Formats: sequence, structure tokens, C-alpha cells
Amino acid sequence: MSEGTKEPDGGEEKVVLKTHDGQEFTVDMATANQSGTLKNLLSEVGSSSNNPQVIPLPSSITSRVLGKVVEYCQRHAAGGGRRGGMQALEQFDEELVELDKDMLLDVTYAAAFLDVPRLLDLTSQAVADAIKNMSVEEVRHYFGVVSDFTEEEEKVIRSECPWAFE
Amino acid sequence: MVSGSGEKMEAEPELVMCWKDLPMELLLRILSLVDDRMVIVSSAVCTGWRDAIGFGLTSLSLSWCKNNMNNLVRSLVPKFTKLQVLTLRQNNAPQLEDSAVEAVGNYCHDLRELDLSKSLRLTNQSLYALGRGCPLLNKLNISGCSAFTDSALSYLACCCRNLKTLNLCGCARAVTDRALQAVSRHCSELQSLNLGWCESVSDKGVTSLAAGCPNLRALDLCGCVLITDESVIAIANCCPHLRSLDLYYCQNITDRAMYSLVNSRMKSWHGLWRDDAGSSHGNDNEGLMNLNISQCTALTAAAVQAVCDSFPSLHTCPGRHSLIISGCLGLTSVRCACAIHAHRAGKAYLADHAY
Repeated sequence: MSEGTKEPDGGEEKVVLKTHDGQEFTVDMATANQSGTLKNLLSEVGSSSNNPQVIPLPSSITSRVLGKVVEYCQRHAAGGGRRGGMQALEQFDEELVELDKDMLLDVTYAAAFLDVPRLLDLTSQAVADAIKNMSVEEVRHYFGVVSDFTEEEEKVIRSECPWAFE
Repeated sequence: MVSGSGEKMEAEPELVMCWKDLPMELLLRILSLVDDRMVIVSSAVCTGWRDAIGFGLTSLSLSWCKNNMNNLVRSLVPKFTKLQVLTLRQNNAPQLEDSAVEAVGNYCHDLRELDLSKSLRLTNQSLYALGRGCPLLNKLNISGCSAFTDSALSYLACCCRNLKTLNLCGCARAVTDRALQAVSRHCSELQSLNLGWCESVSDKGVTSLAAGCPNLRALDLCGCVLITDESVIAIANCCPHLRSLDLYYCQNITDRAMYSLVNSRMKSWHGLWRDDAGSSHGNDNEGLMNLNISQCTALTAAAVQAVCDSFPSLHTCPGRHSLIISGCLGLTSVRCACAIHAHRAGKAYLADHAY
């Protein structure tokens, strides 16, 4: 993907995002500024093309996850004005969140951590759509969550809301 | 605690998070996008989710619940103690009993808004429980709860002094002059009150209400068949922020009531009202925006036309229809300003004017 790099006009500011597993993503400022967290941070510390700021990310944001977030931010930094307008952008968004559920969780978390509001909206909606109309057991199964209620508690819940298990 | 590893993709070393440990704010964000049924399902998934939802959930509606609402409320409110908005309107058969409302009073001390409309099986015990447990209530709808009596309503008014919106439509036994006196004494913040079809209300109750609740913006007296001009005069004189008044079927109302509204308008134009808090609102000097006098058969066209001329937001023209005069054969000649203009200048003017 090259839409995020723009024409390198010599002085364009860059920033390096470094994941816990050692991968580095070099992005321009317009891309970084899609993230509220990075924007705030960079307004404090600054960054330049010769000596780009390296920002280490927490271990929960793996390179695979960051790749998704960067892809989103690059595309949205370019905006709806390019590549087929808003419609294409919407389609891009739709396809971006077609992820397996574990990846969806990680991207949701990363979007929250990096404060990318629209991406967080997208992933939250994708999760909400996925669990719509599920029963308790289906939600547990879908997310791989094992009930940690005591037998007694589980029994009470089942008797209180039997419909939630149907 | 058993960790959530039911069916992860095999050997995905990259994965760090698991759904069980989803941060509370993310879980709540996702649950804000699903229906209330799904919120309850989620609270039964694991203790982490239950606790997160219990801590973060502030608004819940169980109106979709077709049966067993009573038990559901009783089992949920001990977990959802941070609720601020709870909607328990029963659209079909009444289900709620006092035990559910008592649970709400016992656990939801932060509650601000509660809708119990059409809870025909509730008794005074429910109002006592709310009075004891939910002092922060500012919006309460108990319309159609016909079993409450005035001593319970008085008690509630005494306890819930932040009430701003109170719907008592059809609570004929609860809404007496005595209860309205208690409301006026304790609930001075009241802005919206529905007394529809509370047939034992008389001028005594309404005048005391007017004196105690100067912030009233909306008052529904439809079907309060005993009230006379005295009630309307008191409201017109004491409640400068009044925007909506419903007098449907109040057949004792005469032109005198209409002229008192006109006079109150004159006074506010001349700045005789105290310049108190609230009058800084943008549309505060709009005056009445809704008036229903349908079936008030004693009114004459001259008096109603004077009201209509005094309040520019009152309209008889089709699109806006905020002065409702149906059923009054003597009032067919009453027209709002734009209807008269339209009559003179054709429809183009109406469209221009009706933004």
C-alpha cells in the first residue's frame, strides 16, 4: 500500500511505530494523526524525517494487529477525496472488519488504546452484529469464554433467565 | 478462576487478549449497540462480564418482556445497582408486582428515571419503596397505575424532591387535592405534570400546585372535569414558563380563563416577571406553544382568537396544529396568523412562513 506515504517531498515528517514483537512501521504524520493517542504524544515530543520518533507499543498490539490499524489510518488519512470517494471508503471499512473473532478483539483493543474512534466504532459494531440474538452458551462458545460461576450461581441464573439459554 | 480458552485458534502465539478479560469500557461500548435482551444474556456469560455490566450499566428497558417481567426485575436489579434509567412499561398484560418495585427501591439508589406505566397490579407498597430507596428520581411515569392512593403519592412527593417530570395520567385515586398539595410543597422543581383523567382534582389542588411549582412548563389537565377558570388563572399567573396546557374536556372553562392567559402574556411582554433562572433560555419568551381546548364547549371565538393572537407559536393551520379546538362548534372561525395571511396571499406565503 502506498497511499499513505504520499510524495516524499524531502521534509515530510515520519514516525516509527514499534511493536513488542520487534516489527517497525514507518508512517507519515497524517496517518499517525488518525490516532488520538499518537497525535497527543507527537504534539509533545515531535518527530522529523531525518530523526523519526520511535514509539514502542504495548505487547497486546502485535504486528499483525498494528498492520490492520495502520492500513485503516493510511486509507482514512487519504480521505474520501481519493480512490472512488466516500463509497469506496465505506466499502474499504466494511471489508477491513471482516476478521476472525480473535483478531477482531485485538483490533478493537488496539483501536481503543490508540484512540481511533471510527475504527473502534466499526469493530464494536462488527462484534455487536456477530453476537446479536445469541444465547448465553453461544456467546461463551463464540468468544471461548468458560463460565466461572459456581455451580450454584449457574443454577440460579438458569432458573432466573431460562430464555437466555435457549 | 477458569480462564477463557474454550476454542482458540490452535497455537496462535500472537494472541495476548482473551474475550473474558475484555476491558469494561469496551464491553459496555459493544453492549450499547445490542438490545437489552442481549445485555442480560451477556451478564450471564461469566463473572467478569457480570461485574463489568453491573458496574457500568446505567440504562435498561424490559418493556419487551412479555411474561415473567416481575421475576426478571427481581433477579436483575441486585446486580445492576448503578441503573439510572429503568423502563418497565407493560405493553400487554400487567406483570409487575410490588416485590419487583421493592427490589428496585432496595438496590437502585441512583435511579433518576423510572417508567412503571400500566402497572395495574402495583399497590401503595411500591410507591413507599421508591420513596425510601430512590430519592434522586427526577422522572417518574406511573400512568395507568390505578391502585395507588393519595397518601402514598404524598409520601413519594415528600421523599423525591428532585422530580421534574411526573406522569400521573389515570391515577384517579392517587391524585387528589391533598396529594397535589404535597407535590406543590415538596417538588418545586417540577416542570412537566400529567393529571389526565384524574377526576377528583379540583381548583384547590391546581391552585396550590401553581403556587408551589413556578417552573411548570407542561401541564395536562385533560378530563379533570371539576376544574374551573380559577385553576387556569392560577397557572397563568404563577407559571411564566408554561409552554403546553391541555384542557381537553374541561367543560367548566370559560372565556375568563382564556383572557387570563392573554393577560399573563401581556405581563411577560412588559417584563413584569421576575428575571429568574430559566428565563435565559432561547425560546423562553415564546409563551404557550401547545394548547388543547377541544370539547371546552363554553368558550367563544373572540376569547380564543385573543389567545391565538397573543401567542405566536399557537397555530390552527394544518401543518402545525398546536391550538387544538376540535369539537367546539363555536370556534370554527378562530385562525392563526399564518392561516389569515395564507387566506389573503395564497399558499406561497404559508410555505415561506412555515419554517
